[in-house]
Amino acid sequence: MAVEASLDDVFINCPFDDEFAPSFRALLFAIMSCGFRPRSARELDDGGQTRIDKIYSLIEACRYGIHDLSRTELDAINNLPRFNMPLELGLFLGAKRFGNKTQKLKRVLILDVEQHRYQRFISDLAGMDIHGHGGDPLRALRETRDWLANVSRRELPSADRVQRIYQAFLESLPDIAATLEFDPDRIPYIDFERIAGQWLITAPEAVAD
Amino acid sequence: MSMATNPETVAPKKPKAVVLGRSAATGRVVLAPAVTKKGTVSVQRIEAAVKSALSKKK
Repeated sequence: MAVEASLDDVFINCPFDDEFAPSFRALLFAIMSCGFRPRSARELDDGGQTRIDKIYSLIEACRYGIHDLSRTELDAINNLPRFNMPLELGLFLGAKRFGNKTQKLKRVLILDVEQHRYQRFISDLAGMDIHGHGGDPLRALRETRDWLANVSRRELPSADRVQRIYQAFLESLPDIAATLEFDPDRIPYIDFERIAGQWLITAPEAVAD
Repeated sequence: MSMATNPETVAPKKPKAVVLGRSAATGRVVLAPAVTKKGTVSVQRIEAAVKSALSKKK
């Protein structure tokens, strides 16, 4: 059954490893501070449908998709690349190409460590909106803000302001984590999202001045 | 079967995202997370921890 895509939901397709965690958090915060709602496979529980069915549902529900291809590299243990990100990007592009009128309105941002590296491993993406972040979480945050402003046509806080607000949030985070008895680098996904949301509505206007 | 009841032709509306509040810092609304998984700490504890951390910054 078809489901209407939410105009506020942003699907994040990215690595979930420790190395990428600071960039993942920056993406989440950029999306939330711009008034959108992040969605990712991290919010899925283990019961019910198969994982791929849950990912289909998430993709179907989201107008926007941010896809990070940073992990197109051989891992140290298996000497194989992770293919989940390219697979989910393909599903998103397929929904946009072959879906109903609502699905055709999907918008896609592709991120990688280098802007043109994709030409060496997925050259069929030529002509798409691909941005490099150099592995820098703040660059990923700014790219996300700028892209959301462009594709949504909404009036959003500037990239400079979102960055300053995020840096103020990061200053508060160790204290918040200590109170909640979390390791600040390993806050569970759903709790991190709730903390970021609560911080955004509690922080005063001058927090980033 | 009429168009209005055919599940293949009617797109059910997703429940609208819940607005947590408006951020003074960004000027934008803040949406509640999509609730598909339970948090490991209560919302009340998070509110208290955030207020406490921000009050120390003043």
